[in-house]
Amino acid sequence: MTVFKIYILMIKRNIGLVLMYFGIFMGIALAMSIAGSKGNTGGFTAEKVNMAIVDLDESELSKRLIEFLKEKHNVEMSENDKSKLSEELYYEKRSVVLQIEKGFSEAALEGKNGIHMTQRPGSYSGMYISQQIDQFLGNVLAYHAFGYSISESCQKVTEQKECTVTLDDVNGNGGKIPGYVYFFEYLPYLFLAALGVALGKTLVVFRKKTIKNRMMASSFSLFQQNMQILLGFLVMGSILYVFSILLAVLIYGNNMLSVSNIGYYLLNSYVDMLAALEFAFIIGLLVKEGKRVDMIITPLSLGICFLCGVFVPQSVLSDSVQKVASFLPVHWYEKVNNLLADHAEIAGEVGQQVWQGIGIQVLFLFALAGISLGIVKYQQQER
Amino acid sequence: MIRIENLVKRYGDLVALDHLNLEVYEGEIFGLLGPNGCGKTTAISCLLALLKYDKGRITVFGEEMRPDSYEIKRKIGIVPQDVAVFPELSVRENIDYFCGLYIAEKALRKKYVREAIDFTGLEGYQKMRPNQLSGGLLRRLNIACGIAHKPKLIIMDEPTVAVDPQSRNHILEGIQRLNKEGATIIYTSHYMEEVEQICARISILDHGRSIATGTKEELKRMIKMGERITIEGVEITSEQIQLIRELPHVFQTEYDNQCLVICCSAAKKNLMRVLHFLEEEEIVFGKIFSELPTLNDVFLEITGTELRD
Repeated sequence: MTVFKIYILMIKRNIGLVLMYFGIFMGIALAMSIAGSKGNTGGFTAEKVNMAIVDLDESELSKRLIEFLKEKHNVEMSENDKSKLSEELYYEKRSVVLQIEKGFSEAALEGKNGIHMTQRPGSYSGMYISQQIDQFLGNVLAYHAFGYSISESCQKVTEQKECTVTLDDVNGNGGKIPGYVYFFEYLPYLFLAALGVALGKTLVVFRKKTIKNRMMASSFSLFQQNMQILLGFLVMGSILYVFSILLAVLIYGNNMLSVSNIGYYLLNSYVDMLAALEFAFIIGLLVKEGKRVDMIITPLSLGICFLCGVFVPQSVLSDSVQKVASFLPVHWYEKVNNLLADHAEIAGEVGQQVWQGIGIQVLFLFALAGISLGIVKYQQQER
Repeated sequence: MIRIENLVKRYGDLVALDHLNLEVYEGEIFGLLGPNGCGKTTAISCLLALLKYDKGRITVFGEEMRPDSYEIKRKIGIVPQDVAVFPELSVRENIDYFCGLYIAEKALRKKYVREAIDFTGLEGYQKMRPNQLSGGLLRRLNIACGIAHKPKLIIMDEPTVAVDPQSRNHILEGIQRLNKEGATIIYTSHYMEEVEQICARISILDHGRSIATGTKEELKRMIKMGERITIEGVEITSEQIQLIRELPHVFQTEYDNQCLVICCSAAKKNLMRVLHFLEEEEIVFGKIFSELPTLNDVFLEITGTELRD
């Protein structure tokens, strides 16, 4: 295992770069996890407004309207004392003052406005209350038009049940995006950048003409040399993979491990890691100097990640961009990842799509392996 | 030990090796001498089966050399022209790695690595990285990586290029010691002095062909010139030069900047005759000395160009 051992030793000497990319990755993943968990995803809560009402009409309709508003807001009946009401608005005791004018009932039946509203400057509550009053009066008038009396119409409107919204919790997290989803979303960047730099750079050293010649002149067979280098790739990739997953377990704990589709997440990310290994191998074969690997890997990994929806949701990418990205395995990784994030249960059509995505990535592995072999063969023939 | 027959290697239209024939005997230091680009490194690469060749046959230790001749390769050590070590590894790690390509047994390898370090005088630099070493030390590391596994045949491709005189002497002495310990050595260089100093037999290469092979004495006997007499600080007329040219065994003279060079064929008393002439003609001079021909003279006479060109 001479070649393997030295390969691992040399990668260990390049570990600083891997840690740098690991730091960048963890920074992005954790920042997004925190931002995601702070999001206002708990649902809509109706706001109660402090308001005063001066009822000058004192009609059936005005009284029913006041009852309707009392159910929704903190309503206090007030006398028609303009200076007192202005003072209450000024000192923010009230947000809105409603004055129901005399003759409001008749005006409302004719579709005219009989309410005077005063609100604190900069307050948006007036608009909100105005919409509720319009909704109430609109419904009363509709019933009244069908022959119901004002009293009956008001009764019907107050009896109306508010429609309820039922959340279909398909992702098993009440619509929230758990932190580990972001972790898996950004994982391709870590694999592409860290493995590309560390493994690609080391391979470049092994492929340096002088060293390669010296190794080829030795009694160590070329097949063994190549096999041990490939083993070095696989071991280092797997170490990074296991380390990443352990870190995710440490951060997200049971939250991540208890989800039923965690196996799919792990399989999908392992296949993606293998694709990143092959990517690093090709870079190592094509680039002639170690310094150039850094220069190439950084923009290339970022470019692939943006194109494939690692940093930007795939849903916001145009069709043409997605079409181009579909020639890259990361695109299919993200597609599977999105399906896993949206569905706690992987079965039926969703299961089919998940396996299809993973299967396409496996096909990419074969294709990339074919490209690598082609390059190796071409370079051997050049000699 | 090594037989190269009618070896032809082409790079497109360029013929790098043109029906090269060589034979290296066991236990000798065999020199491959020639100017840069004459085909020395290409010949070595073909010999090690690193390059495919178009025609010819190479046998090493009596067997045909192929890329997968690992048993033959086990007995060969290579010191390439360009330093081939890992910059990320220390001196000891580099030697251990390249030795490990031949020797699997850990204890034996450890012993061999220690001996290679002692042999090349790198004891004080074991933990240093290659980029911390001077050019001479780097060359020694390059040699240590090639000889650590104690090969029977060592191929050294210009191992002293860009090396200071002290390190060069150290390297040359080391090569002679390796040879005394039983290794056969092929030594390529364009420094004729080095080749003359250490090689038992020499082959002179030019344009991919071996133009002469033999011991240095045999090579020198191949050419007309047997002695070169140089007179410095001399004022001489063209008539007097003509008279010198008519002396027995003198076949060429050159006079430039008060320096007269007289080329004679091999004969006794050439210098005596010249001195007698100078005395008779009362010619005053600063310094006179006689030299035997060098390999450069051999190359010059055979090819018409200087070896250093």
